[in-house]
Amino acid sequence: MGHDWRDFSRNPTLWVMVGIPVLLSYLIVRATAAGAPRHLVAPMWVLFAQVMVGVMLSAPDLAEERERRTVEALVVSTASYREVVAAKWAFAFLVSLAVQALVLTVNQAWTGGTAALIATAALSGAVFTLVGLLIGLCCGSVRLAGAAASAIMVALFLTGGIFESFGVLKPALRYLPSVLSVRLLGQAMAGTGLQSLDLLCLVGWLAALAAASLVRIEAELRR
Amino acid sequence: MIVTAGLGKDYGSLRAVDALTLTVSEGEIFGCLGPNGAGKTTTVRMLIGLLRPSRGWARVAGYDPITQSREVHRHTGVVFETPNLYERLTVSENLALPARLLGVTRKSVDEAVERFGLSEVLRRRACHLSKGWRQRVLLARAMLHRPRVLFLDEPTSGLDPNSARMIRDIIRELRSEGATVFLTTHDMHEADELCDRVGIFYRGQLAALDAPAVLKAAGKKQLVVEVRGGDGEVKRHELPFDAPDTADWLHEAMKAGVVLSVATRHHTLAEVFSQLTGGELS
Ligand SMILES: Nc1ncnc2c1ncn2[C@@H]1O[C@H](COP(=O)(O)OP(=O)(O)O)[C@@H](O)[C@H]1O
Ligand SMILES: [Mg+2]
Repeated sequence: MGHDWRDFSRNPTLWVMVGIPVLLSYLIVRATAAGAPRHLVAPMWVLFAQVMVGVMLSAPDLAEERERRTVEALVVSTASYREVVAAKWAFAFLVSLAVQALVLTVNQAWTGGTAALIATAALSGAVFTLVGLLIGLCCGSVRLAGAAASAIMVALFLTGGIFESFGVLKPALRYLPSVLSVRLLGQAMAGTGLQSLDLLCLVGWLAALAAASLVRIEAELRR
Repeated sequence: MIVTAGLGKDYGSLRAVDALTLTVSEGEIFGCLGPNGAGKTTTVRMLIGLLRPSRGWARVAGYDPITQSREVHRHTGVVFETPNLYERLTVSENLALPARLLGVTRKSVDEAVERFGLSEVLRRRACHLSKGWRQRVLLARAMLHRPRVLFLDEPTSGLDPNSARMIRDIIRELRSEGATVFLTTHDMHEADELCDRVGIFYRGQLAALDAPAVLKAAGKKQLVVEVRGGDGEVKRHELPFDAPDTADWLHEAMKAGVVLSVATRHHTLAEVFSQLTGGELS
């Protein structure tokens, strides 16, 4: 994971990716909703951090390792493919947590129950980094992975961020991880306690995505 | 050191490697020769456990590349066909990561750096290296843990002559240290120069397998005749040694008294290769 960090630290596009949610959320929240209750405005920006880092960081990164076959150099150095992928996921997960914490801090959104907020941030962070991982595992090139990740990131951010304006589609979108994440973050910040249905559904997403990633990894190992 | 039996791989309906049966002994430099698409890389990838064979089996250093891949990796070093360094990491970091995975000491890494003359580029990022340097780093990385078997997939392809010579010198040095080398190449001279035995791959099959000298001797001989032409100029003719026409032609030339010298020569490995692969040189 140390080398993931070094590789990451020298990749300017990734710094931009980390900087954007923090900066943008700060500026927009200050300009448009400075006095609004935090649990109404902050969740969508935390979601922005989750999808930006989770999806956009691990997808092209893993696709690059596969495209350039650097991962094979690790495998013949007695690392297992599963371990390499797990380390990448863990790295993206930690960055996701750090960026979420920054977004919460600059927007003074550590309201409600801290434990519930951290649990939600961790759970959603894990889900979205798995989304990125799965894209990276399925796309054969960095280019393709970047395009797929951008599209999915935008879709997730929009569905979660402006869920209320989707009208008739709302019942269908209600169980998307982005919507679930925003709802849970709002509940945590409002200090009302987390709804078990939302929590359960997001855990379900986590399990499903983890299973899909494992299936992909096994398929690749069986080539 | 490397044993395969009926080893083969299909990609859908394409037989990339048909059924390879081969033994490479300890300390041997084995050249895997063939035009592009012959199945060389596929063979290497099966031997290092990155591809599952469709049929047959293999043992490398006594281990099964599929079920005992970690053991195989502990005893083998690989230089891949694609130069897969971490572009944004420095040379030193590119070596440190596999070294840590392999449990190699700092001292061994320093030795590898010394041996491949990498001290001056250690702090340079891989993306700034020339192809020759890159290949040196890749070799150093493959040799960190002093493996008993080395797989080199076209290590000199696309290199300038100096860098290529340096890599060949290193391979020769490895031989003197008793390492087993499985070298993939489509450079005939290189194979001729370096390899104890070569296998000529063609369309997934082993078209020939022997020492370069034996292969060349088994190929048809050429008759080389120098004659003085009408204008006094010396002309060199090459004729197939065992063809009836050759004898007639030589008889006439002798009668005319223009023959200056007669010699025979064996085919070069490149000629043997193009005979076996229907002229398909790469
Ligand atoms: N992943 C793959 N999927 C499908 N076909 C492949 C794949 N890899 C190689 N091939 C095909 O298998 C054949 C052998 O390829 P390869 O082993 O790379 O040859 P060489 O290394 O001798 O140039 C080629 O026809 C190539 O197109
Ligand atoms: Mg090849």
